[in-house]
Amino acid sequence: MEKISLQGVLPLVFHQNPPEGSGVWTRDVSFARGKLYLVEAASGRGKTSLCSYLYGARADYSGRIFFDGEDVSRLSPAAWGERRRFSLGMIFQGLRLFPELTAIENVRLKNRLTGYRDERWIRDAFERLGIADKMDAPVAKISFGQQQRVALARGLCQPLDFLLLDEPVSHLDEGNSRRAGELLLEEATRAGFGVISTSIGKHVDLPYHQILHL
Amino acid sequence: MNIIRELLLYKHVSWTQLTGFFIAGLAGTGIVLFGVQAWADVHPFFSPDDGFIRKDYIVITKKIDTRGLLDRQSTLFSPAEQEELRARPFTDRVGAFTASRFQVSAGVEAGGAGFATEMFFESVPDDFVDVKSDRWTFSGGDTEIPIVIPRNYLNLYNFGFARSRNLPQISEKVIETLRLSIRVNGNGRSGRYKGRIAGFSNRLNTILVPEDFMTWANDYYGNPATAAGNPARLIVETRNPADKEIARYFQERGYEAENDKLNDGSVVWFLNLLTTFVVGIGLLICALALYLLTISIYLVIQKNSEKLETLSLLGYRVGEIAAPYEGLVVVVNTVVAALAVGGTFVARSFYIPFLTRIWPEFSPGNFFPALLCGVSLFLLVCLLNIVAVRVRVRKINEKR
Repeated sequence: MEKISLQGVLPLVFHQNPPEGSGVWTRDVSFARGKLYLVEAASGRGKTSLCSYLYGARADYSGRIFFDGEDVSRLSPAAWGERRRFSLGMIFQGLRLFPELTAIENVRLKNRLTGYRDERWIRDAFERLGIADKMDAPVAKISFGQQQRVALARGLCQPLDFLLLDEPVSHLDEGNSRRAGELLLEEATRAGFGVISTSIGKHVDLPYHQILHL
Repeated sequence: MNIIRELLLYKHVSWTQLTGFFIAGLAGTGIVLFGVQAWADVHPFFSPDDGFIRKDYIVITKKIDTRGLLDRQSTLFSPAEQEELRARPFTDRVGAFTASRFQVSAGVEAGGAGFATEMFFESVPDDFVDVKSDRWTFSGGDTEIPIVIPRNYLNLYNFGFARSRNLPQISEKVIETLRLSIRVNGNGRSGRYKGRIAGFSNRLNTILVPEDFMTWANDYYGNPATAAGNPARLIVETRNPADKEIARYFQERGYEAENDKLNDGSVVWFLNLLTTFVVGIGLLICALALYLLTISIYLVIQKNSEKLETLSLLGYRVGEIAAPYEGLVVVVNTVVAALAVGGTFVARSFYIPFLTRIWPEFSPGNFFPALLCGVSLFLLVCLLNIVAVRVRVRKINEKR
């Protein structure tokens, strides 16, 4: 997939009272593969909604979204599944990790689906993200910041055209945020995927091609 | 370790509910298989096509009245009358009794002493003889004649004569070891034969020899002056002796049934009813067990709905998410089906010898009906469970 386009998209919840001055809602916006985008907004402007719409997790919006010209409202659940395996990734704001599994089991759960990474890469990613000592700890027992890094490692365990990140470093200190940004940039450069990251102010440090205000 | 299975199943499945399904499923399937197998084993024995009990035979004669004293032909069945009887809807087959047209005397010799008596033979087509014996054959030149006598004769001796005279009772086996000396005269010829009791008939109240012998002997020893005439007795095979049409027809023609046959049709009806009832109960229990398992799995799926949603968001397919539940269904149902089939096999190994003991003619079928039924039930239950699981998982995936 080379391009994601939005045509006049607006969450249904904003229909009564559309947000003013948005660079995304109700506009025609495109995201290209290989480019890095930052979507900034204050709380309640619909950052998570935007990610959910692009990821096919919700469809409570008006307007249209296209993947390379194909209207996503026509995609079947199976087709969405295929994209989530081989083209489209997402780091959820709520992370959606399985608390009863260990950190590394959570990552393996995604990787066994795609077979994209080997065990060495996974362990190396834990090392680089500074959570190697938490590899075998149940996710329920580690901090939210550590969980965010586990979610990032999991998000990179698949072939990607676009990676959506919903406030990925909200609970990370500067050092850990920088390390996460380095890994992300390295992988995006190597694989040539596009990044669409949302932020409430604190954002992952990348050389963004475009910053949009929601 | 399969992470998904661990995640979705083992931590949430109710082992109590699963045990409930297991017991109910086993009971239901076991009852169904046992009912079907027992029916398949016993039913042919009573069925009109293969067995002999269910086939009813009526031996008929004409009423003998004073006219019969003057006109012997009036008590015989003419070919036209036989044809008409054959054409009746209640008739399956008709066989004629052939009487011997020569003199017969039979005797027993033991230790130099013995006695002999005048007697007669009759024959019917071999298909109508209710004694199955490999040696029920005769060909010209044989010196031994197999003979079937009515079981009544033996009973008459054992329970009447022997008891009143304080004589020993004689078993069928002993009688079968006796060798009779048979002397046959006629047509200027005579011959000596050994007679061997080949069995005892409940159906035919006469001294029977194979039809082959009778045809040959009537030809060889028969008085040419008394050429083969019309039979005085007929044996009629019918599917339903209780058919009112039979009684009406016989009365109209002045025929008399020699013995009132048991209405085995009611036995078959009862057997079928009983089997339907037993198999019905079994199926009901199976259905309830299936319902229990489905509800139980639905509960687990409901408890895991958020996890299922996340797996779907990670890119797992419906089939992959449903797989642990389907695996559980298949494993549990396989164990249930295997135990039910095994149980039926063991139960059968008890009842077959028992039935063979009480009905020596009983020949059991094979184990195929229970096996086929077990496999079919297994496939059906698995299919229903898998469809239910998939529908449920798909619903959770599509709820967004």
